[in-house]
Amino acid sequence: MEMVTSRFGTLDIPDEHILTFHSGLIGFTEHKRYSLLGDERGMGYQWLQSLDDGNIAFVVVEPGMVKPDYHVEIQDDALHEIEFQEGDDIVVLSIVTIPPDQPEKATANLQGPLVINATRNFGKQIILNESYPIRYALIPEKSHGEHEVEKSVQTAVNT
Amino acid sequence: MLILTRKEGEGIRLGENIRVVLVQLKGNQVRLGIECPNSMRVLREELYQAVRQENLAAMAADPANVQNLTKHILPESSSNTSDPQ
Repeated sequence: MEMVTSRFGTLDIPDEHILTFHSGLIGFTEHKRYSLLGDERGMGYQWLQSLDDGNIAFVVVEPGMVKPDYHVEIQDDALHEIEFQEGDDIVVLSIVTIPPDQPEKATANLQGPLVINATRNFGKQIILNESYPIRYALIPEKSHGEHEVEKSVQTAVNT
Repeated sequence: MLILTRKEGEGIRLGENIRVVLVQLKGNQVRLGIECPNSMRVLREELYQAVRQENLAAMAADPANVQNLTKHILPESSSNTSDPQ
């Protein structure tokens, strides 16, 4: 399908890339179709673009990248809604909030992740029973400023 | 909204298999007991609203800010994902 978006211009989305959220997202129940777009420079960020409203898109990240010990228990109602069957590939994503004036204070919502059945292209936003931050800082406070140099050196050594 | 008056120990039923009981009245708090199928999600209202608010805040993301953000991401994770082997 062809989709006009406010951020990415006109996109041609193949049918197999259309994700259906039967319940929409929380607060966006009327928007049920989305597509995941690329990732930003291989950093694991992706956009979840609404296919019902070209203005709506969310930045998403794999929560394991942000918090390695993150653990999600998906309850039966959610598994049913994403039409899970044994062997299906499940992807968990967290929505990122980026304050427009302070993008370095970006946070990931670990309490209300998206669970996506990548095999069947169904998704759902769940709210975990276990308590996780709704605003988990993507960038630890101490990594602002002078630690930048140290980090880029480390990257150079690793690669 | 339907409003019912109940005393301690009394309950209500929603459909065939959901039961809500007023377990205890204590000062300005009410303890509710809820029996429902495991497949049914029960959430505190404020948690639902908090996630809803966060979704609303997140939908305004600007692609330029995402690019800024990637500059800050931890070196461990970026080298893991970008390194083919």
